[in-house]
Amino acid sequence: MKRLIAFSFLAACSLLWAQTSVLAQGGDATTYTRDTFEQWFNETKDAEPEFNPGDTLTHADLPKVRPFMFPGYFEQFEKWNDGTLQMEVAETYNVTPHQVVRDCDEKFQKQVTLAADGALENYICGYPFSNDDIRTETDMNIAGLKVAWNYDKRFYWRGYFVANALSTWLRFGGEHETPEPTKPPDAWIGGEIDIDTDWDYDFDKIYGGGGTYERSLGTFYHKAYHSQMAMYPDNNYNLPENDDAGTVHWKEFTGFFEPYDVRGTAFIIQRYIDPRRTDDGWAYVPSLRRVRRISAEVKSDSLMGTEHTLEDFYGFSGRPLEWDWVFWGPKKFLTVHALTKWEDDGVRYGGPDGWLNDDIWQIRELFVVERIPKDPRHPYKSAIMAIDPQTWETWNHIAFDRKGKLWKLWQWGYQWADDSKKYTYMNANRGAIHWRNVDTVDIQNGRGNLWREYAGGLPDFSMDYINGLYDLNRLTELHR
Amino acid sequence: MKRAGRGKLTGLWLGITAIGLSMALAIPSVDAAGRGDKGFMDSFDRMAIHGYVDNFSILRSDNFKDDYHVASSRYRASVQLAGPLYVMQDYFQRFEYFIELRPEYESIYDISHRFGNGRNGKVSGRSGKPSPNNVALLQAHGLAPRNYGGFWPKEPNATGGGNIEFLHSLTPGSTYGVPGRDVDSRSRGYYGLDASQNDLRFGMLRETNMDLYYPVREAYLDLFWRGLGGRNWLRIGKQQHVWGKADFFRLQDVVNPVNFGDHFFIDLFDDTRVPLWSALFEHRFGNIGFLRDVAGSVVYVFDRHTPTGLGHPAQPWATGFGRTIDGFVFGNDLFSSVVFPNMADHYSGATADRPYVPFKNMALYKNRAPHWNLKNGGVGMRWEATVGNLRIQVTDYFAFPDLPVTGWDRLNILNTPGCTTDGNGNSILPADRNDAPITAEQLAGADPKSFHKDGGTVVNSAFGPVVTGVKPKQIQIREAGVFKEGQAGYGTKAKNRHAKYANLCGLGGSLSARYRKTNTLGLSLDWFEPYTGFVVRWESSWSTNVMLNDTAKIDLVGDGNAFKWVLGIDRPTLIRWLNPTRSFFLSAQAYGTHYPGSRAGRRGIVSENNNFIFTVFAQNHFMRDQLVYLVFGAFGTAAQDGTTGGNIEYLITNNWSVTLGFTAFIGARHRHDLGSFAVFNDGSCYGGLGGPGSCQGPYSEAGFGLFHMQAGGSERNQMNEFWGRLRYRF
Repeated sequence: MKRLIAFSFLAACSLLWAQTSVLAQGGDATTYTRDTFEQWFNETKDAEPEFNPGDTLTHADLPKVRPFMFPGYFEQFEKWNDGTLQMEVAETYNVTPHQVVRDCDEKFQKQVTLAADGALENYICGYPFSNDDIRTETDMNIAGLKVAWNYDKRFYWRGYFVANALSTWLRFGGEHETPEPTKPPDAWIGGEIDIDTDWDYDFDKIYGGGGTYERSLGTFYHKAYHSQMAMYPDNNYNLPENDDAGTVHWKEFTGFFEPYDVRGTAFIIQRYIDPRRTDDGWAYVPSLRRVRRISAEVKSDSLMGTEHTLEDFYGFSGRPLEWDWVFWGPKKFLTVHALTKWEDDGVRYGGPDGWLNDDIWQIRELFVVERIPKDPRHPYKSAIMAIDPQTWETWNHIAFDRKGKLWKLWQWGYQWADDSKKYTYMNANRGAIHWRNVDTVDIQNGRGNLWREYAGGLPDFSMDYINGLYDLNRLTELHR
Repeated sequence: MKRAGRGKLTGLWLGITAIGLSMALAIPSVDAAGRGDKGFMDSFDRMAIHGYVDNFSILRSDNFKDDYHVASSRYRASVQLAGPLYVMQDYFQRFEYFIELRPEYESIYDISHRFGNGRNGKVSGRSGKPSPNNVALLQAHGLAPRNYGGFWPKEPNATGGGNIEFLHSLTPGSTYGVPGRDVDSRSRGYYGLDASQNDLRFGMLRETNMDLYYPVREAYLDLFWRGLGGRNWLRIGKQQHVWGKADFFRLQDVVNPVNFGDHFFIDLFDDTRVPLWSALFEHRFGNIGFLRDVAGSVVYVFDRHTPTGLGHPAQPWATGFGRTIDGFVFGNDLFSSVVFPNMADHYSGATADRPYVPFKNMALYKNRAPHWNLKNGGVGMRWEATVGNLRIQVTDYFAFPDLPVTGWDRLNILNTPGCTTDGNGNSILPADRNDAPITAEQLAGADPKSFHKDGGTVVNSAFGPVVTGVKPKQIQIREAGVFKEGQAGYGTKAKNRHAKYANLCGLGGSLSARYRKTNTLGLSLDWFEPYTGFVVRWESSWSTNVMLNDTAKIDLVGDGNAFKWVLGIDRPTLIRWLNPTRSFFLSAQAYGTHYPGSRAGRRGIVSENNNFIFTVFAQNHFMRDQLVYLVFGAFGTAAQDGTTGGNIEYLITNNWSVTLGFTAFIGARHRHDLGSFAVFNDGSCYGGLGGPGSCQGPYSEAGFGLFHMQAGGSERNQMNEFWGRLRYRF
């Protein structure tokens, strides 16, 4: 009996020690490796919160939060120790996609398969795989690939628009001057939507906390889906009145209009529904006054000098077949997702470095997946994403350098479009999520980028606008 | 600022009216959706004002070894206004405007003694103090040697002989003021030579059209509407048209000239391309069958003819050819006075002691620029489409070229038996001739042009008897006595006889800059090759019936065709050990120019038949794109010359930036037949003005050598530089 008690005691101590070996870690996120995350995940994947909706967590409550935040990201909140950290916890906000998506799921999910090389086959619209299918998949690589395809085909209405996705270069420490975003040229917006009426932001309140802001970039962005669109069953689920529908999955227009040195620079990228076909890209370079064909394949390149690569857009904007995917499994996270308390529908920043979310938090069960690049020259050794399986958008993602050390952290912000208080004419009745911010930090170098939406949503642009915006000849109109 | 002629403005308004009427026919009513009840005054709420103020300075040296000096310190402002115009909203989906004002101040004329008025004799770049002979020549004519540079392509040899040295002016002004000259050639010989110091100081240059429109660099309206089954775009105003896909080279990009007088090709074409008053109409068809994103456009340039800027010789960055042109124009006035003293070059200057000699010239005397009228404008079209993985562009442009060909209107022929007669004493010159200079008495009551005879005028020159102003194509050269047995030209091959005749019998003449409309058909395409990651670009142009300078022709002008091509490859490449987060943009190009069917070499067209230039370019970013650096190199095979350089730009803040750069020129030399200037070359060959020395033959780099200054280095290897730019952007 005594031996049993002693053994049990020793076992309990060992378990406790094992748990605290990760849970007790803190401070230096620059030493974290992929193993740190795997260990943390294994130790906390079944954790249940010790707080409830309605609670407001402060700095003193952070130990309760640790099991529900990625390492590295958690330490950023540990630095927020000036007494202003207020994490209001709300009920989990469950959302369901638009009926058209559910109709597609019902009709076509059963026929979707994966080819030998991982390509999607027999896909028409909706989500290729059900969440149950992914949960019950026994091969974690296949499950990961299914997550990747669901992510790739996530529902975003007809595409996303933002008048100014202001990117601000951040450095840890110090103080900042508030940036003041401006509106893009009328020519890019067209005459179909009005961004002026709701353009009412309190920039000082948005950019709270500390951190040094070095530079800001004004970006106009639009993404237009052309194929596999759930809302067009009568047109074979393709965008009507468009000759590229059926071949092109989506097109993106990105234009920079401030500051002066990048003003007028614009890109058009085309992604095809053939997963094996490379993207096509064109850029208008104002200093050349010419449209240049570009290689859209260097996706691991930093975008305009930010901590973001082209692939990091939306959490992952690359082509799934260029990565290996491993599904780690579902897990609860404390997130800011699909819900906001702010009148302008957007994030507010706080914390000593001025980049952490200051908004409503909720526990959500996310799918954790790791992606490993097949290209050995890729700057990342791997990346881990925490994806919400209701909205199929990312909450956090992490990237490791080639040595396997923690390099970058992302926090993503999304708003359930139907709940928007601003620009309701382009957000109501969408049954979809829309982007509002992404904030990236380079943990190793103490710097990052804030990208925040000003005047964005999921508009129903006319075919005329879409065909006109993505006409390559249009790029030659541009000037500084 | 000069006022445009009434006739020119009438033409301009006619053109605008014609375009307006066409638009009225093509434009249906459109909805002004989204613009609500905004009126014209609301437009200004959306006006965007951007631009910059900067200082750009050059520290020049001779081969980075010695003579470091500041060669330029230019202050420039660019204010760009752009925005929508809420007018005619029932007709246009969008109506926008763009204006760029770009005043500048080149301070070098006020801070340095090497340029402009007030110079202390030391100059900059490949130009030095005149040789002793030329000093004496200038002084003899009451001209201050300190105001002139000696431009020579080859160093004089130890005995004082050597290649020809051309004098060019170093000071701005409207006249050369050569004593004894009735008609000053400075304002007539070529564009912009008569710029004043203030014109140079403030950039009010003829070559940039800023003499008329200062400081408006660009100003245009954009109109967009649906009609004719697609989308339409009309841009009318002072604008740039950029065609083609090549970097650094202009094959299809021929609508606007560029000003090399600012900073050669080191500056971006966006800064040096000269905007012209023109209209662009583009119709976007969308997809047609297998063609995607199809667009067709027409361009009509109704601005006056604007040349490629070669630089005023008093400017720091006058290209070598700019100085040569001045040398030929100034030389025309100076040497015509030297060779034909006490003779009037214009009938109004004739007196009892000073008879009139028609075509009393020795070099470049006239710029036969096209008149400014609607007929002389340029017209072109461009078609673009995507076919599969290729983006294709086809262009055609018919206009006067922006560089002339210089040709002899008239030649001066030594009045010796072998030059003016055949072996039997029969004249080989046109019969209609003045046997002596025209007296004032003869001129009284007569039409002066009646004395402009094809056979010229017999005069006594400093070289002995000469027939001035002979029409070169009417000389029966093959019969000339100089080619008979025992004569200096005996044994000359038939194909070289024109050139040899000019060497042996010529004494300068009346050279003019000529222009002829040329049609340039262009084709370019690009494609992305996914397996290698290369973007491949091809651009080509075919110009038909172009005028070419040909030293084998008696009037120096030949005809030919020109085929040009560029093959370029670009590849963003991650070189992790150099930069782990940002790929290098690497680019390389091969450029070829071919003149099929033309003869080249020492005698022939002044370019080679086949010329190649190779360029490489690399750019990268550091510090989150706050530090941008690039390096480039260009090498030309015909001239064996090259340019290499690079710069680093640091974006200090959103507003401030600083750029430091360097440029190095390397070059060798070729030599061309001097034609009727051969007599001024080594005297041991022809017994002329040149001093004794080993005979160099009638060849020199002077004059035409700079036609093949392709990659920049030839003749420019005393203009190596460091440069810097401090800029505030807003």
